[in-house]
Amino acid sequence: MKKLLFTAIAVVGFGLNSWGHTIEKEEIDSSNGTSNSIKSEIVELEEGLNCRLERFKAYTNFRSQGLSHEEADSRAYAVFFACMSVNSEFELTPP
Amino acid sequence: MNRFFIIIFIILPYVSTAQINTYVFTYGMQIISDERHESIVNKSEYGAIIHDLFVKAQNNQDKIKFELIVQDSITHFCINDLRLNNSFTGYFGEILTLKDSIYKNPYKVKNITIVNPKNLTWEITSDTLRIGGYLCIKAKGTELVTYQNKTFYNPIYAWFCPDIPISVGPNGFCGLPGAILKLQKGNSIFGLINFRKESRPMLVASNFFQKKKITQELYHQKLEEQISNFEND
Repeated sequence: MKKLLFTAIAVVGFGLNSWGHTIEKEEIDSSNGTSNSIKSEIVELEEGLNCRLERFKAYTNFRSQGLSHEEADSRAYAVFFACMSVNSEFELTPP
Repeated sequence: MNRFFIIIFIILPYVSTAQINTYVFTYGMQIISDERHESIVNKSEYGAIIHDLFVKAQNNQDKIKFELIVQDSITHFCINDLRLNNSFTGYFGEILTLKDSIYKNPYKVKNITIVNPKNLTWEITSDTLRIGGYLCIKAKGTELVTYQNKTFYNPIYAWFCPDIPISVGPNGFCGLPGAILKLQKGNSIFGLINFRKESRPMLVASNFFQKKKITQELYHQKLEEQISNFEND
């Protein structure tokens, strides 16, 4: 019985605590009613698509200069990451 | 029947942990500039990015190592750390070679294995080079790169050692009457660091046989389709 009571108190307590920390952070753009978080997701998606296209263009460019698939692909990835302003995925990460 | 299972039960641990004679070749990497690279850097719109990548790759080259494991007619080739910048090494993923075929697992495409026959022909020259005390002979191969109705002939140079009479080499290149101790293709030079014989458990190559198998031609064809579809959308 004691155990049950303790569990009930703990559950209610933690539940209230987590609810208390919930921050409503959905900012609505007054101009068109679009959420800012959705907007930034759209921008990221567009950026990703543009960079993917850039990667394919670079791949085609390198292949037409005589590079094999392996050579062209790795260089085209570098173009993709430069476009996304991300360091190359193959950079050495510190141990 | 019960006796059969008992025997299997007794033998299985010994079979599964059996050690077999293995040759282990460790290769280092040197990244060099060549005509094609210079042309891309100077003429392509991506020149600056490629130049930066090249400088980073050269700075990292000493950290890159490759291991070639040879057990009878089976070899397995892989890089020591995939997180290293391997853009100019020509490394595409781990490679398994069997008697007649080469299996490549591209590390960027998880669900396929590219299978090709061993069909590279070599022209053996009279040039020699001593590598770590081994006398090596130079051979030249040609990689045919066909793209949009244009064909390019990219040379591959290999220095093989007849004193190590196993037909193996780095990055899937083999087919010479001796182990390849040095190989130059494009911007990359694979060079032997050490070579040892040891006992190891039998190679487990299940990750090459569980995936969808595809030929290099079909793989390129699919890629081209993907590119044109993406550009048209």
